[in-house]
Amino acid sequence: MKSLSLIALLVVVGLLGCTERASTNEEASGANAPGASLASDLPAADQPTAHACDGCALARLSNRECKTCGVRYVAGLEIPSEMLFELLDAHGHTYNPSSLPCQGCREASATNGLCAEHRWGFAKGQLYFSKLSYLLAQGKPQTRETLPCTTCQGSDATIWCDRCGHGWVGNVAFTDPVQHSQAIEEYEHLVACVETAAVCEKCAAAKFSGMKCPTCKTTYPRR
Amino acid sequence: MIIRSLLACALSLCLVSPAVAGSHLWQINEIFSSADGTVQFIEMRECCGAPSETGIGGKWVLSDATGMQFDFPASLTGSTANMHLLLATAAFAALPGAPTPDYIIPENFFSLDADTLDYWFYAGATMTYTSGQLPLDGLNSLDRNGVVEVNSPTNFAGDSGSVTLTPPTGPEFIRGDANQNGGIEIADAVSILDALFGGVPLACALAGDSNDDNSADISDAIFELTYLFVSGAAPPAPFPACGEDPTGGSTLTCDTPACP
Repeated sequence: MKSLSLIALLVVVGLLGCTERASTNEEASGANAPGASLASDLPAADQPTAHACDGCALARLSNRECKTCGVRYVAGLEIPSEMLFELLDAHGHTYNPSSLPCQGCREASATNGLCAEHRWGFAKGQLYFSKLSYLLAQGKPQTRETLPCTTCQGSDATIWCDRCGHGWVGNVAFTDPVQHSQAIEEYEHLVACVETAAVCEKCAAAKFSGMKCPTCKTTYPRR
Repeated sequence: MIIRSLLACALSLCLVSPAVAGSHLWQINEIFSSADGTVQFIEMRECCGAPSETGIGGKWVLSDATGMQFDFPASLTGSTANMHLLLATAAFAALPGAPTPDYIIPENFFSLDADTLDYWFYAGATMTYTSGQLPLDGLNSLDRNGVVEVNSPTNFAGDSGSVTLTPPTGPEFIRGDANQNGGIEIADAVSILDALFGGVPLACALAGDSNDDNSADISDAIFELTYLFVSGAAPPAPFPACGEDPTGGSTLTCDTPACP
């Protein structure tokens, strides 16, 4: 009886480990890998520790889902809507510049810019599927608690700290005030979409993309 | 030993966890329609050489104008790099030269006039066209860049083809020439009224359908008189020369056409 319990315990532990491992495997595997590179740039204090929800710390910093705890993050903001989170796909993607679909994308790829037609952004050699994730990629995800400045440690989602010369958008730090203010605009739009998702998930996705909700028939302005 | 084996087994489960499937990189690439909307196809293409864009299950293609929506029933298997998906009507599937559609959509799924076709909420995948852009000649299609060229549908298996719709054939006539004398004048309006109220059938009811609404009634006489005397719109083709009805769809006949 005791050995059966032990076996069950081991299987459960193994399966719990699976969800964490699956996440890190994906990050390490080419096409959807970029979050890992951001996380690996983190200072030692920000690296996950051996804790039951380590994967969540990593997910929070890399705009991913923590399957263990069933939460999804973008810029440290929890995204309850699975549909909205899937649409955001807010981490970077590897890509082949020669196979980009339009001239605008090729130019944006060469200049680390945005493609107006596809609304894709290119930064640090990776492709981002929205202006928000592109702008977030200009900053650096960090846990504020590790910073010495108490202002920077504040909980406001979007602040600029003159003392540190840092701005925050969620858990992403910026040193360029222009990029910071652009990111704030997109982040606030995301916050509004998260609020909309509580009422209508498809409306939230349509709102984020500037499209039509197939259920409510509301057309949201293109951004 | 047993414990070690179980531990190894549990860990091995971790290593085979499937990679997350994407779906961002499909785009609406080419559309085609017959003049009556019964033959239509929508071709999608994976734009960027990504092999794992298989996660389309539960997503959809939506016509903003008609409100019709097609939901993908399941995700794909196999590499998606630069592959195509073909959504088409049953009438398209029956045509010679047509590759087998991957999915069947209803007739008149998208508008013959102006429309926006959405793929889920991916703004970059959308295809929009304005009035007059979509060719309805039975041969050409419209691509996502607005280019009109001979249709070239391709399905997920990589089978490609082209369809040619035979234009409607029918008697030649001059629209509005109800009395079949080769021109349009007040006598034609009188002939229409005679047919309606005097029991004198028209020799070519198709010609009596001056306004091309597929019926011969008093509105045709009014249309013709308006054209003749108050600068109203000219009758639609075929006019002023002989020709076939280019839009078809009429059940009216032309028993003794005056045109050759």
